[in-house]
Amino acid sequence: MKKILIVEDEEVLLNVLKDRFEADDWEVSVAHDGEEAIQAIEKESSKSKFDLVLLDLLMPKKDGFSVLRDIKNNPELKNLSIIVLSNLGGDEDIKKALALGAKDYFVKTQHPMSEIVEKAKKYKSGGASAKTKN
Amino acid sequence: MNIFFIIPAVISIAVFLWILISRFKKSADQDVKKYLLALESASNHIIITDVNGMILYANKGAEKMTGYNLEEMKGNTPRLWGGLMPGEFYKKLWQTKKDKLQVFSGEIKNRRKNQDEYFALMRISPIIDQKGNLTGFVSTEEDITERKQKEEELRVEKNKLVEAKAKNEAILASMGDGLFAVDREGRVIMINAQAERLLGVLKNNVLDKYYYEAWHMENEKGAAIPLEKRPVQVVLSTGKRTETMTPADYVYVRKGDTRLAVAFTITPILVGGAVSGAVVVFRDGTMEKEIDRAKSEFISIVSHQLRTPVSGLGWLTEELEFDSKNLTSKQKKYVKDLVTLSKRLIGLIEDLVNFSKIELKTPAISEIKSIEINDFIGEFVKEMEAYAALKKHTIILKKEVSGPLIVETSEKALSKVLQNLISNAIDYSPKNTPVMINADKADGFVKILISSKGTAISKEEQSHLFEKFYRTEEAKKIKPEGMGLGLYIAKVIIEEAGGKVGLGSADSEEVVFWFTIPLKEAMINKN
Repeated sequence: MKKILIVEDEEVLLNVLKDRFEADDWEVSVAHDGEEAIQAIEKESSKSKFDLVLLDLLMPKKDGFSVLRDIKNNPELKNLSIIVLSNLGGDEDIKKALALGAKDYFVKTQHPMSEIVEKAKKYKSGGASAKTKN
Repeated sequence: MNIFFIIPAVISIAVFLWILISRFKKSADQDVKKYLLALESASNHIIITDVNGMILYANKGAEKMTGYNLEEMKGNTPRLWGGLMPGEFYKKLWQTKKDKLQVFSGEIKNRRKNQDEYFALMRISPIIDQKGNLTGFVSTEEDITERKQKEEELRVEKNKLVEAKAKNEAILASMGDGLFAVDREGRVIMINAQAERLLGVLKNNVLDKYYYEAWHMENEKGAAIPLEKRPVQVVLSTGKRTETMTPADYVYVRKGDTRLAVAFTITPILVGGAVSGAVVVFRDGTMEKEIDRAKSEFISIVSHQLRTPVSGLGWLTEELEFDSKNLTSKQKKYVKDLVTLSKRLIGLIEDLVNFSKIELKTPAISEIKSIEINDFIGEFVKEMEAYAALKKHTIILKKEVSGPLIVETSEKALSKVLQNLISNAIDYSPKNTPVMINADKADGFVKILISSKGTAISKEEQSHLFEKFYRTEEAKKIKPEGMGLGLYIAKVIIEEAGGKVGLGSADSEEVVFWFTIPLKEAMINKN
C-alpha cells in the first residue's frame, strides 16, 4: 500500500483529505504542524519512506517552507516527493516552494479533491514527477 | 545873520523838498497802482482783510474762485465761503496769524456761492505797519480741488488693492491645500503658508528660486524623479493640466529627509495660448495612502483567511456528492445545490484575492510567454462552453484575421481577462442568445471584441464601469452576488500588458466590450 503523510493544521480539512485518500487505498499518516511533520518523516525514513507528503504552508510552530528547506538539506530525504497544498496562491510563493524542492503546487480553493487525489496517484518514492500546476 | 539871506534859503529848501516829496509821492502812487494791477490780474485768489477778518479788498481771482463779487464780500469775513473745517483749524489759524504774527498755511475746504465745494491751499500773512502794529491780513488761495480728487481716487484705488490683496492672501493662507506657482522657467513666484508647512520651506528662501532646487521629488521607492518627468515640468512643456486623484507615485522630500506622499492638481498659466507658468495645488496624501494600503492588506488577509473554510466547504460537499448513493433524491439535489453555491463562493473569494494582489502591486502579469491568440482563445472558449451551455448560451467564435497573432503576456492573466469578459457577456444577456467573440488586428495591436445581446448601459454608468466595486443597477438585479471587480481586474491586467480595454456599443441590441494587446514586434514586421 502506498504511504502518504498529510500535513494540515485545519482539523476539518485534514479529516476530509484523510478519508478521501484512504478511500483511494492510501495508508495515511497525519501531522498538524511543521514540527510534527519533520518528526513523522524522520521516524518513517528509518523504516520505509513515505511515497508522498501533502504539505500545507501556513502552519503554527514551523511553516511549510521551513519543512521543505529541512528536507532539501537532508541528503537522506531529498528525494522525498512533496506536493504543496496551500491557501497561498501568489506567484512568488509558488516559485519559492518549487525552488525548495516541491514537486507540485495546489491552491486549495482552485482544485477539487478529485484532482489532487488523481495527481497523487502518479507519485511513488523517487518516481516520475508530474508537470507543475498551480 | 542876514535874515534876507536865511528866508530865501529856507524857501528854496522847502520848494526842493516839496518837489522831492511830490515826486516821491507820485512814484509811490504809481507803484501802488502797479501793485494793484498785478493783484487784480493775478489768477490766484487774493484778499485783504482788516485785523478782525473783515474783507477790504478781493481780486478778480478771488471773485472767480468764490463766486462772490467784491461788493458782496465787503462787510463779511471769508467765513462767507468757508467754515467747513473743524473748529480746531480756525483756532490755530487765528493763533498763528494774529497772536504769533506768523504766516499760516494749510489745506482748506470751502464752498462757492453756487454751493460747490472746493479745496484750496491757503496762505495768510499778517500786514504790519512801520510801527509794528498789525493792520490786517493778506490771504491767498490756490485751487487744488483737482489734485485732491486725484489723490482721493488714488487712495480709494489703493485701499481696494490692499483689500483685495489681503483677501487673496487670507484665502490662500486659509486653504487646507498647499499651493505654489512657478513662472515659465520654473521659478517660484508664489507660495502659500500651507505649502511652506508641507514642504518644510520658508517663503523668503524659495521665492525666485527654481522649484526643483527648492525641494526634491522622488517616487515611492525612493528613486529621484528626473526633472523632465517631474509633473510641473511636464505641464510647463505640454501646457496640459494634470491631476492625481489619489496619492500616486510622487513623494516630496523635505528638510531632514522626511517624505511626503502627495496628490496634486497642476494647471498651466496660459497667456495668449503660450505657457507662462503653472499653479500647483497639492495635499498631504500620507493618510490616504496609508488607509488605502491598510484596506488592501485587510482584504488580502481576509481573503486568504477565507480560503481555508471555503475550501473545506468545497471539499466536503465534493465528498458528499462523490459518495451520494445512499442519499434520497431530495438530499442529492441539496448536495448539488451546495456544490454550486460553494463554487460561487470560491469564485468570489478568488476575485477578492486577485483584487488584493493588484492593489498590493503584486504584478498581475508574470511568467510571460509568447501566446498565439487564435489558438489560445479557441482553447479557452472550449472550456467556457460548458458554462455557457449551463446558462443556455452558445459562444460563437469568429476570427477575422488568419495567421499567427503572437502576443507576449501571461496565460494566467489573459485567461482572467477572457474569463471576466465572457462570463459577463453570458451572465448579463438573455437566455438562448449567442455570445460572439471576434479578433481583429490594427496598428500593431490585436483587438478582441466580445459582444452579446444585453441590457443598455447609460452614459453615466459607462463612465464608472471599470471602477472597482462599481455595479450598474441592472447588473445588481440580474446577478445580486457579483462584486463589481471583474471589469476592474480586466482593466488593470490589460493596461499592465500595454493594451486598452473599453466599451463599444452599449444599447439593448448589442453590448460590445473590447480589449487590445500589443502584438509581438517581429510578427508585425513579417506580416
